[in-house]
Amino acid sequence: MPTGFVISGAAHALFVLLLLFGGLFARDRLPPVSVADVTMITEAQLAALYPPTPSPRVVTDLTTPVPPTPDAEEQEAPTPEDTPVIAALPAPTPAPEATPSEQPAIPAPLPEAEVSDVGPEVEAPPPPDDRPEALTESAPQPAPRVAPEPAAPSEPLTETAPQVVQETAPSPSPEPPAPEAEAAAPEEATTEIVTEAEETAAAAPAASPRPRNRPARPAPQPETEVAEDSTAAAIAAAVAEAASQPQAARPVPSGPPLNRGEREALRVAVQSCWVVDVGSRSADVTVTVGMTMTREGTVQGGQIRRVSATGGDEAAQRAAFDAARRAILRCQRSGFPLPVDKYDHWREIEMTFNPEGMRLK
Amino acid sequence: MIHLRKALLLTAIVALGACSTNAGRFGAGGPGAGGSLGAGGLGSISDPTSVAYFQATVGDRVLFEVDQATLTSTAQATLSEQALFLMSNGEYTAIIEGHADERGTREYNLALGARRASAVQDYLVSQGVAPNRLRTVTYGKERPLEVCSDEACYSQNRRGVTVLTAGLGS
Amino acid sequence: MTKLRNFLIVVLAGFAAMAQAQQGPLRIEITEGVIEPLPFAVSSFVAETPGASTYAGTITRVIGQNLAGTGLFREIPRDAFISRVTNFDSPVQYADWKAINAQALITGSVNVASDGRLIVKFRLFDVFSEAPLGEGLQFVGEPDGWRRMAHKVSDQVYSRITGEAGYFDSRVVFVSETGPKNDRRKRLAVMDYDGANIQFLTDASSIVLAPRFSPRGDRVLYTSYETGFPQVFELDVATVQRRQLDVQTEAMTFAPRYAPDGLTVVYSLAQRGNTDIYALNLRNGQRTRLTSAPSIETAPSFSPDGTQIVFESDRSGSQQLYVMSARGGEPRRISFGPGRYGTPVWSPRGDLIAFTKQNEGRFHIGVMRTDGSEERLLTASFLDEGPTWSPNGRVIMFTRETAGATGAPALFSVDISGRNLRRVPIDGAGSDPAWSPLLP
Repeated sequence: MPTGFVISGAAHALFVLLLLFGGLFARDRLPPVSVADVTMITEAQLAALYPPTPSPRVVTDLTTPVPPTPDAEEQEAPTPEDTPVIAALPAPTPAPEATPSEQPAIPAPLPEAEVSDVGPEVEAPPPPDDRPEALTESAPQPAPRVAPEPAAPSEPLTETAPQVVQETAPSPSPEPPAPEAEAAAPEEATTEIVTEAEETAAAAPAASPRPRNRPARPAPQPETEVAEDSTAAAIAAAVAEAASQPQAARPVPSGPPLNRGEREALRVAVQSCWVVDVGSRSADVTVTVGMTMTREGTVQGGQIRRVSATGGDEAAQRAAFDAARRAILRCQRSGFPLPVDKYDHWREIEMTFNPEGMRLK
Repeated sequence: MIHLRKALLLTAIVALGACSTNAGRFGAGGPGAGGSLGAGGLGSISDPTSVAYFQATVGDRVLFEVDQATLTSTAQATLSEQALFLMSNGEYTAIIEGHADERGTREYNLALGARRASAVQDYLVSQGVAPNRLRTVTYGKERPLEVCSDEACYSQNRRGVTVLTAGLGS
Repeated sequence: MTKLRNFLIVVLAGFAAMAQAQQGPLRIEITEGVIEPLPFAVSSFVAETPGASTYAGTITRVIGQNLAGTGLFREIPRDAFISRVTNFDSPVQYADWKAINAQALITGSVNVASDGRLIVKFRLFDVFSEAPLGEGLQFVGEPDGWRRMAHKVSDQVYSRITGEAGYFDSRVVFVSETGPKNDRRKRLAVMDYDGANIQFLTDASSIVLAPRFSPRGDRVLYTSYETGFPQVFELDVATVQRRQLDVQTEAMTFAPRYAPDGLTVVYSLAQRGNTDIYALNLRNGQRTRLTSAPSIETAPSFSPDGTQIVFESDRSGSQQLYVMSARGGEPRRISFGPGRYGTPVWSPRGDLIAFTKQNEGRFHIGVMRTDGSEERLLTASFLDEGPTWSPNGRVIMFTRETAGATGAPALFSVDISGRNLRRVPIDGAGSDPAWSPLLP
């Protein structure tokens, strides 16, 4: 009798256990995989879905109400396509204050010295704690910031550094092309991306890494008197430059144009703020932007217009233009270091951002 | 009572053996999961018709050079013995596993394992084993025998293993 | 002749110089910039309804992590902020954001609607231009989709700044691994691109290898030992139902990959020790042999336009990369550097091929142009392999395995510039990642 109970009890217990845990051993009982549904909708659709009731929104306005930005109401536009608002920036109006001799005694605009809080930490060595990379593994990235001027040069720098050029070439050279730094570039090693692969290859001298042919520095533009380069290219460049002269009926500036050093100073000031995303297609885009300058060396009204762009698709060109604009507006601070007595020569500036030499290779 | 204990013990052994053979062949669903021999089937090492004898005395595996599928003379000697065993023990069929060390990409190692298994199969057939008694499978680098990361282990992992299963044909 | 040309140049350039001297803007060419992360600020998303505050906080955090995780952007810590956005529609105090050098500012709001769904809105501002960058947008979804909403906002921001599509709202299928090295248990799993939301697609009962997403991300091809032999299976991600492709008892199949149209599968088939590449038409089951050489041909991958296939072969004596027509035919070798090349994968942009390279005892992930030129190695370790592209072709995820008895595989990602190498945070070991397209 007890035995029967025991057997029966045990059997029942087993049955219950099987019922309970049998599923554990069954194969292929994985739950289906679901993905949460998310839809992008327009403002109009949203309003239709959820009629705007006076929601208990706490309106804690900021202290000083600033006039709404021109595009603050942009969200009301019912089209989901993000039409580039940026591309529609108004072209700067031709500067009316063409009175070159207004205040000739004014000292040259202060170089970027005094504004510290607005200033982008351009020359500051990259703070190590800021870097987002390398959660694990010592990702060997010797220089998280790749810049034309290495912060801690380990190699002897030659006069190729733009600043040096600036000093060594003060002669008021009248030739129009941008005086690109002379050839010979021994600082390459410190100024290019070093991948993990290259790091380890360098560590092991036995390794035979493919010689890194860094993209040749952009070939110096043909100087007027020296036409040593490919003649065809030189002709093309010269013709293009001649042809691209605007027919603006601007008063002819008198006096000597900017000398090489002055131009270099402007170039260096902008390039230290020009953040290039070398892995993106915007790095295929050469964009030229135009701006009208104030006498203080700032961009008038912050208005920068796109003059031309080559390479890449429209989105890439827009991104390249945005990056160029950011570079100028961020680095102008209280004004680019430009000689005010030559204001007529730089009232209008066209700046070409050509990342060709930085592209990944 | 004694009989019962013996029976229990035997059951346990067989069960364990089954585990080791099936699981040892790399998880459920491994080749021959249905018809492979349990531990009881391994037999005695002194029985020249047993799986145990085949594994220990004949030698169930051959090793390969780096990135090679050609048989060394040592390997050929082993395989000749295997062929003799298979021909005199016609109740067995065999699955030949090809393995690679971890120093290769996954897909390539699968292909390399297939090549090695095939080299073993071809040799056994050339020695007279009926082709329909042999199948090949590659494991690439998925099932290393040794787990260290140097040549001592790699050389043991670059292997072709002849796994006997019961039953004629397949 | 040369003299004439030089004369022409001088004359023309002289004209140019005269024109320059007389009028026109000052022209400057900038040819060098800096490569560094762009500083951005994400203002805490405004919770506009009482239930929204938790979501607002987590969405803000995920957006920051997404963007900073690219290595292209650097998030400015919130405690550095001068002004706070407490109302989504208030004007932006650009000066406050310039002061902390934020080049981009993201603001947003989160609402829990009457039906319980979340509404997330955002705007992006170019701080130094003092203008919005594109329009504000809004997303609606179930509350458990908050992470996807954060990803979608991040994708929009990324795309507006870089000019390229993002990759945050995407998933990765991979092999989750447990157990000792000589008895590894492998399961297919799928997760968000950043390692969140891991869900398993198979149990651990048989070895599974190298899953690949279909072009729409709804199916997965993989190799399983379910039958005892390596065979290609296809799995429906939503229902977790699977089926074996191209059933052939005497053959082993592996290394599958979809054609861009999702209707054809290429894979390797090993028979009598020889591995070749085949194509299977999924609609009519027709099988076509694409290579027939006594060597190993495996790891095929389609070009995005579907006309070409890159694969690896050892026909030259060692593993190298080859490109052939998608219909087969004579392949063209594209890898010529020292070492061995395997697992080529065509970039979704179409311009690059990622690969695994073995050289002098090290493994690398690298990229090259589709003609084999401009090879660049991005990583180096004891064992790196199996690259997969982010949907926008910008990031490569791969397997990195450590050496030794306790060695285990992990998922890593790297930017195609070679920067921003990082580990993808998942629980446990994982291998063989494959990136999905952007989710719809």
